[in-house]
Amino acid sequence: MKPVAGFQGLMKGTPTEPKLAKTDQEIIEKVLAGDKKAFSDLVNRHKDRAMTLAMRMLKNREEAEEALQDAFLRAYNALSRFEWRSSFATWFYRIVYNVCSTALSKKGEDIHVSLNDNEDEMKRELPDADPGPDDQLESTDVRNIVLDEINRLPATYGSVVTLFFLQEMSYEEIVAVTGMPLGTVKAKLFRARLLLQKAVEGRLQENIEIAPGKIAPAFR
Amino acid sequence: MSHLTFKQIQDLADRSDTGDALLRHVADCRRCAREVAIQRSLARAAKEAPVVKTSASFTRKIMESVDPGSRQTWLFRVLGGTGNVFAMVLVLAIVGYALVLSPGTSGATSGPSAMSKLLTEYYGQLQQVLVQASGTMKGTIASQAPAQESKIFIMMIASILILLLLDRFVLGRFLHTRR
Repeated sequence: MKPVAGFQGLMKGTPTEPKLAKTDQEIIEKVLAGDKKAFSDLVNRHKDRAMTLAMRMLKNREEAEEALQDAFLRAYNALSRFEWRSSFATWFYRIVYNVCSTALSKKGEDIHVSLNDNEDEMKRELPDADPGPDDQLESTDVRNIVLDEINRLPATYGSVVTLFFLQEMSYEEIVAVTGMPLGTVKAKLFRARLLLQKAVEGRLQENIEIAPGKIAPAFR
Repeated sequence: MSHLTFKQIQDLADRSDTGDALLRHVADCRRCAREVAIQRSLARAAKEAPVVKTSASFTRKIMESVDPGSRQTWLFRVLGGTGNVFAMVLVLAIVGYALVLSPGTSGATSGPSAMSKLLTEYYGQLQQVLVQASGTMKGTIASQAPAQESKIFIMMIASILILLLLDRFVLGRFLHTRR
């Protein structure tokens, strides 16, 4: 049945046409044309994912919200200078990343300090060892533990993991956001995944020792 | 037996174009196959992790800075929800009248008849109070200020205030009727 718009559609009992979602570009053009209220659409569209990035870096909700507000205001003030060399999301997450990095620096933490991230380690072969059982790699317990351990990762790794997996950014986009060289980004992601694996295995092993048989031994 | 490098395992987990040789190795090597499965599981969990939501007033705070002219006074914000409050006010006022002030409905004891009688009494009382209030404003002397009518007014005002606050601070937060 062909949808009919608005009141007529309601009266005829037919579905109304859905309101087409605006693209970031359309919203930005409206804002630059003077419609300040349209900026709220941009905020609502990006705030939660950006908040996730800020939380993974700052580990504190209040600080993360404050940093995110600052980032949005900076983005608003710089909108006229945005030249669409990348997506708005990539450009905005760079602002968020820089604001959070500055906040971390004020707390004495330098996100750019190398934590033995080495590309050579990636080229090492897996050591020979008993593979262990394959059961229930997808259990809910494992997922909850993974999420918890992601939130515990140091800011330098948590940010890269968030951008790569949650935002599904490519390496090149992550380079654009973080300003780190491509090799460093790959090394940090690699290291983050190893840390995650070891942390999750450790937690699962603890759970097995505390409550044997109750937690699926997904990683051993 | 040699195994894959960490990089190769992560590439396989990411389903990058790794070539047939690696895939053949994984098919034969349980150790490497398991490592790939673990990395894929971690990746899946990371992708499916829930986003962190901002607070309910987050967008409003930003827009107050972006567009200060749109900032609403507290009074405007409180009154902003009056549209969906007055219906509740009417219901509460009638129910309150019935429970607290009504002399008791006689005769009709059930359903529409009782409600009709109740409504008639309620509006009758309200009309008397409004006429008296109007007379007072015009300088005429009100014969008396019945306690019942005052109570009705007080009850209505109180109901309005409570429901406005409820709408503003509770319902709006939970039903996402505010930005």
